[in-house]
Amino acid sequence: MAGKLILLVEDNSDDEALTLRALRQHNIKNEVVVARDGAETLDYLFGAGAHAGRDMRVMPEVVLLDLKLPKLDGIEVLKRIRADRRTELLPVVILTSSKEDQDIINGYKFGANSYVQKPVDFTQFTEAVRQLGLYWLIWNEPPPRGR
Amino acid sequence: MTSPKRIRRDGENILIAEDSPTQAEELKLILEGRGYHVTVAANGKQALAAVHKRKPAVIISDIVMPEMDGYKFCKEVKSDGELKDIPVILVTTLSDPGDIVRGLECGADNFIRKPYDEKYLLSRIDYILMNRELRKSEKVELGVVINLMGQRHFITSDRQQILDLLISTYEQAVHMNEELQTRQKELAERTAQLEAANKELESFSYSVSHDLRAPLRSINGFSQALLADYADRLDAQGKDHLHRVHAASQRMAALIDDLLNLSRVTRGEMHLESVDLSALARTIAAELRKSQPARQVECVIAAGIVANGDAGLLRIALENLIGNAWKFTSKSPRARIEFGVTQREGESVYFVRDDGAGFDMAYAGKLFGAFQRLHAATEFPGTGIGLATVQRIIHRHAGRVWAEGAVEHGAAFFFTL
Repeated sequence: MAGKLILLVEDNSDDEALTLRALRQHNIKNEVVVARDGAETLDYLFGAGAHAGRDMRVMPEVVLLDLKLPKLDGIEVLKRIRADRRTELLPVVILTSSKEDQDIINGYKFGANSYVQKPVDFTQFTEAVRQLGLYWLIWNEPPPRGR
Repeated sequence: MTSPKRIRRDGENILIAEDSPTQAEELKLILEGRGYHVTVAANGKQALAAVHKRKPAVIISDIVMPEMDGYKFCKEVKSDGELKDIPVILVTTLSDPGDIVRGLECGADNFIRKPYDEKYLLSRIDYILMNRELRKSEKVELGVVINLMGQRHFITSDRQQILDLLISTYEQAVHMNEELQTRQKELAERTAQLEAANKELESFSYSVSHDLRAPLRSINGFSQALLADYADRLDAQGKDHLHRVHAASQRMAALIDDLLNLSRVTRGEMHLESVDLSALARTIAAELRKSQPARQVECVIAAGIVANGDAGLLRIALENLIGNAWKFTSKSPRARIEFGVTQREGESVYFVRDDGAGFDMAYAGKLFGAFQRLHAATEFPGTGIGLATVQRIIHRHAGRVWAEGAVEHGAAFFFTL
């Protein structure tokens, strides 16, 4: 699973630190790219803005997407990902504090592959992140490259 | 004395026949405010005596009065050659078409509706006084027979009178319709306001769910990180402080979840269907047993209890009630929890009963308030929102919920649907 990359979309630096800590704690040493708002996420994925000219052969194995984000919110980001041929099949896991029915419905409606509520309890949170890492980096079969 | 109106009002006498002193006073004030002289009589008999003593310009009479009602009084006036030219206005609720026919039959000139619309009442009196002379000139007494709702009525009113009465009836109906439309508009505005308030509440609970959880996760996560990474540099008291911070964040998380559930229970749409409460109770009891297999609890669940309600909401209600029974029997080595139904005054009363810690009936009223707890959290954990949730669910089903209990002698929770 070396070389495989996670794109973490998270505007809250505490949650970012906790997620990274949880991954490290479970020896998931893959590179984690952090995007702090919706616009930056799209810039990274499409090689635009601050990420113009990046190596576009490198794509994340999975996107961990928060819903409540500055500029573009998570659902909007998800719609743009699904609307573009380069990312339409990219695995996206919504990782959010919200358990509102409407958020869950919209998440699936606009093509999320999974929806996980961040547990408040850190032990549970660590476990959730560990399982997500293992599942998406090891067990999940990603869409074929070069399409 | 500059206008004819002014001349007409001054000194004109109006007789009010009304048995309610407050209503008579209200009418009197309106009329005196316009310069009329007003005499009040408490029933038809007194009114008739007053008319004989002094002939008023107009009579305004209530219908339902003791001794002699408005119809009878009006008929007496109209059948007296001396008095029949006095215009009579009957005060009615116009709730029955029979009112109109009876009004015509007794020879009434006009209808006015209670409660009085001041402007309309005064314009009616003006109109009647203005047409007084016209009325006197027409003396055709043709009888007409009308059958209404199996009753035969003989009407001898003149054409002017009949027209006036019918027009005033129609005007009252139009007026009532206008009032109704105004009220409908007000209702629509209120509904819109309520919908807006509801939306606001929804976005509020969304913020609660998202925004309060995030900092809590930080408190929880970093206090645990501190314990994990710096345990060797903290003494026992330092660790204890951190454990308390950590535990408090978990309690708060539970509170937020419960509050959100409570608001969800109030907001969501209800889908009524036939719900097998016995099956629900069995499932809940089985889950509880699985969570604490070592406990000795006898669950007695009556079979075949079916009720009409929202399955999701009733499940939450039973989960809370049976869960409470499970929790408050946790100190007993052997416990008994019962779910059943009894009939009280022809109504199905469902109940969940346990033989656990119980409660003091003096605090029975506090049980269903949000955040109300009758036991220390160290003794029995909880947020104090469960029974508030139960109450909301039962109220949404238009039912009632109450409790009976005694300290150390168990508790019983009853509800209707």
